[in-house]
Amino acid sequence: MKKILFVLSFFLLLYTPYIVEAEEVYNIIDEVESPAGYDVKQTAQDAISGKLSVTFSGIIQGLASLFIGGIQENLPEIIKLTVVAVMSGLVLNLGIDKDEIGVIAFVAIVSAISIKTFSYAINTALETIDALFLFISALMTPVATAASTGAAATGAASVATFVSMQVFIYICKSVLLPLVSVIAAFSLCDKFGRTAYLKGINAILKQILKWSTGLMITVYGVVVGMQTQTAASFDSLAGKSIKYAIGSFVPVVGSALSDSLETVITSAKAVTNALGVAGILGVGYICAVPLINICVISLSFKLAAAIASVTSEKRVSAVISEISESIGRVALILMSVAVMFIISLAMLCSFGGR
Amino acid sequence: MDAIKIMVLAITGTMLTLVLKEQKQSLGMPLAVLCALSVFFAGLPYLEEIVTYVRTLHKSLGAVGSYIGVLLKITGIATISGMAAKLCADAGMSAVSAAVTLSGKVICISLVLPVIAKFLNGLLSILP
Repeated sequence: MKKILFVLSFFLLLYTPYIVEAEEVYNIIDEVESPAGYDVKQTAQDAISGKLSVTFSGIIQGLASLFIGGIQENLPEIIKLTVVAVMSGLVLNLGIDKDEIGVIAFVAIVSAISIKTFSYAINTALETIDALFLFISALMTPVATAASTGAAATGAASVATFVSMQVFIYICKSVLLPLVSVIAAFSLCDKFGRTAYLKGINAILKQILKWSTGLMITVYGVVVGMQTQTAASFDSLAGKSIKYAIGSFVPVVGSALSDSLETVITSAKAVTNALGVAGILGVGYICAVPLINICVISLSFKLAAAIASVTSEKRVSAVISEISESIGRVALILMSVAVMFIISLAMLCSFGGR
Repeated sequence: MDAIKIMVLAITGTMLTLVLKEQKQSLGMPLAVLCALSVFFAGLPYLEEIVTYVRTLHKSLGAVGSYIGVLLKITGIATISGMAAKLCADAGMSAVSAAVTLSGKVICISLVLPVIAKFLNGLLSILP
């Protein structure tokens, strides 16, 4: 009897770390910090238990209501802008000649109104990027911990992904968004004169922005993809080797130990996937409102430019059109950052190819 | 109907000025000025209507509306200075005409400057 008890306690002692580790993996979800209005823990727990229901029609309905809300919010500003632009055509025709100072005054007024909105779009984008980064930073540690459970290379790749993300965000905030502002400033200044002297330099800057954004996303995707795939292959191979070694070479309890290891890894995979889904939904939650708002502003400015171009002075409607394009560029950069975060999370979740 | 009155007034004034210029040149120019001013003042009630309408817009536009007043002033100054400059040019006083145009432009620029300053402030706020 003593011998049996001894053997049983030996097994219990041997399994305890794995039982504890499997529990700890599930506890990782509780460590996640949620942004205001969105519960990551609940979403992750719902994802694990299969209660999470994300439907296409639900997403479309949500986006449509945000879009309509954005239009309602921005309508007064857009009406003011359109009225001023339309008035430019009417008032300027009152003059004996189409006086240049009158046109300059209208261009200045419309630019001053538009620049406020553009500044709002830039600030919103910066705040959203910061909020996204904070959210991802808080989520990255638990996801990486869960993903790297029993996988050394994955842990290293998670850190590398995080560093790449930081570099990407730094470039977006310090280079791309200021470049959009410079393009907008050049475009507006160019409209004050009859001849567009800065057209050439502006075209070059626009091309640089387009290429650099595309290049950044491509390079980031390639770097993160390579890191994750290499780490996943390495960990898969290492995991299989360890399981085989434990199962084959550890006498008596080898097979049981190998199964326990598999349980821990499967739990980690479930937690990683649940956190990944919650994270991707969180990214959508944080950036949906500002992104749609910026897109709505850009669209409304385009509409205002189209209406104004009928009656107003050409340069006045061109100012509105240019600002609309610049706001569109801000939306594009914000969208790139959101996509980059989603790619990072998806890559982290796909680590567990073991 | 008023438009026809104004046209008739303008054409009659022009004819009279042309006839009077041949008879007594010294009276031709004052008559031309009188004719131009009469035509201008005949159209003024309609301009007042426009201004009143723009002022109602001014109220509903809020902060943006403050710019509209500046624009109306600029348009008014540009119109008056343009008319005065043309009258001076008709009288053969090209130097005075240029001076009137210049002073009108200077006044307009002084009115536009606050708006341009506001624009520049906005521009500086978005630049890195």
